[in-house]
Amino acid sequence: MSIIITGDGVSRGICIGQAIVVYKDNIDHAPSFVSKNQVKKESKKCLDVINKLKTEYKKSSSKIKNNPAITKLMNMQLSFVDDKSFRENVLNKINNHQFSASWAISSEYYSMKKSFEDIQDKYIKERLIDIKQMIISLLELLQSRKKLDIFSTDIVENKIIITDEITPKDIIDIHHSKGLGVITSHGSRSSHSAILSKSLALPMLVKVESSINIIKNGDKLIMDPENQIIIVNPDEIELKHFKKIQSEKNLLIKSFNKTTNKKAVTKDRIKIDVMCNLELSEEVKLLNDSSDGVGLFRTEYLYMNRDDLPTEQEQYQAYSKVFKKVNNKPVTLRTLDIGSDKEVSENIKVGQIAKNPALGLRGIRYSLYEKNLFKVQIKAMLRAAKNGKLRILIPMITTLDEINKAKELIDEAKDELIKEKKSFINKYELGIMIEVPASAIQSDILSKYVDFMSIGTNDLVQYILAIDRIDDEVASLYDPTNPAVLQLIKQVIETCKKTKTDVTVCGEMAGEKIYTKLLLGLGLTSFSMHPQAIPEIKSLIRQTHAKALRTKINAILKCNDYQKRLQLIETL
Amino acid sequence: MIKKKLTILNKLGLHARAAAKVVSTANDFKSTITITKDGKNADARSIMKLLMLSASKGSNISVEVDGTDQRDAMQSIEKLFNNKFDEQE
Repeated sequence: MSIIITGDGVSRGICIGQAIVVYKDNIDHAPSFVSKNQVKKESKKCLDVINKLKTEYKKSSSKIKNNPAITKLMNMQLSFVDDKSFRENVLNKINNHQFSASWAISSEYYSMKKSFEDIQDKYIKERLIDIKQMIISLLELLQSRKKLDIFSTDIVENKIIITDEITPKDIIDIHHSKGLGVITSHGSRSSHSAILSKSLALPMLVKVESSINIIKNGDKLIMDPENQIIIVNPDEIELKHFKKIQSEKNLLIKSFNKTTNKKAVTKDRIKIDVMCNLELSEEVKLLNDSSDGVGLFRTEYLYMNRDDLPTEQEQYQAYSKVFKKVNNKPVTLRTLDIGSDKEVSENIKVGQIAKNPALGLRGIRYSLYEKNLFKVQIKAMLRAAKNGKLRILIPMITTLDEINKAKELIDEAKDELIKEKKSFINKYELGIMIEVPASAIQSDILSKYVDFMSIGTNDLVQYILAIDRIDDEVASLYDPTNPAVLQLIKQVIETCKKTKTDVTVCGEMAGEKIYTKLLLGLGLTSFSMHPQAIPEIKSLIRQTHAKALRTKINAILKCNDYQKRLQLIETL
Repeated sequence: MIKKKLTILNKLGLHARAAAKVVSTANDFKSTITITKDGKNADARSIMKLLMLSASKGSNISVEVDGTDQRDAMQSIEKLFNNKFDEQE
């Protein structure tokens, strides 16, 4: 019989396929043994991974200098891996009891876990978490070929991947390996993995808590992220039903696609700019004539999943790709915004691991701290633009002082380019992200100093409501329709209209069809979204009479009941 | 072989960082060093075993050292415990 489970849908598209279960928590649950003549090989394998992990820890702790806190922590982790009795016990299990290496390590973890359970002292008890981390890393190294790289193999081709957590790199790998969809038991709809899966048109459902217990390897699944459901082992009737919807959807998409190159003009003749967001220069492939340019190119991924920094030349090539593809349309390149929920890799880490990275050294704050890194990026941007329309977007602006300092650095970058006799574009537009409430409130002042503003709703909502969108406990309180949020967005749009400053919404809200009319009603005339959403949003814009929405919008702004507000938005 | 009774003096007890210090001190010597609390033994070279003793502030432990450099080893271990593992409180 089929079972229906629910979760948070991320990207659209029904998919039907077989499940492949890949959990990161890889501790063995069942015993496994090796034959007598394999014991030697098995214990060598085990010692090898212990030594390998030791080297890895040493390597990463040597990368962080002048930070005693982290060094101490790494040394402690190192002494866990180096533990004499742990090594002796594990080897004893292999040598004298013919345990496989992974079962020897896993079962040693279970016995330690038991001993730790009796410990009263909470502080000591918590160290079991560190030990577990080490065990997982050891097992990952042991199974490196089997599990770690599974997403980049054809094992996931045409499969729906069931996992606990997923990183942006995993999503890219799954996309390249032609996986059908992704279901995770944790995570959040606005995490970067989710954003990436959306732009790559990879169907995904997150926070499907029951997926661990219910979905088994090889199960047939129907996933429908838009309706937040997964059907495990569907019957014939269900299959038939969803296959029908699937083909109807494909037809609908085709019809959106037919008209997608037409301009987005509302019924009351207001021209709306619909631009696209990019994460990776590879996504340039998804670009076509349907968009009015690139409204946001997040440059973070150039810096991630690597040990070194991208050179000016490498960045120049990545940005050039985008300029070449869009011809004469504007291209908005956002300078590096690390921190918050993005995984910060070693190459761009500064100082201590912040307790609250969302309020820490990120965006322009980081750039003003690592000035050279910022200048290298600016130089690559100015060179790549050639005759194009370059718009430089600065994230996390809080004060006017930061804008002035960023301008100074851009001028310095230009001087350096002149000295180096490299050709570059002199003319560019400067814009700031409106994501810190302070800059939204001060938008009238700040608008005099910039050419455009871009409202990043994801972070703006997080900061206005004090909600961490990746914290499972409070993620449900993350509400972009909260009247305080809408009021502030409206204020920024109106200010920009008065001061004749371009304003775009580039957050998740811009690409979700339930908010399209809401944003049009608030007076917005420029959207930037993941390319996948453009055809449908454009067609929705063409069906809307923007001015007629005004009175209804006022009712929404005054409505403090969540359910009622949602209803008002849906019936706009 | 020499044996000595000691008391844990620091606020946090024999927690991870303190245990790591015991391990690194023990590694400086050739002698075997065993720490016992409530009948449970721990090799002083194993951070996990030391943690499992769950020795909080005020607990009584005994240290057993056996080997050619047992006198120096005992002295260093005793100093570490009495200095509260170089912690403030």
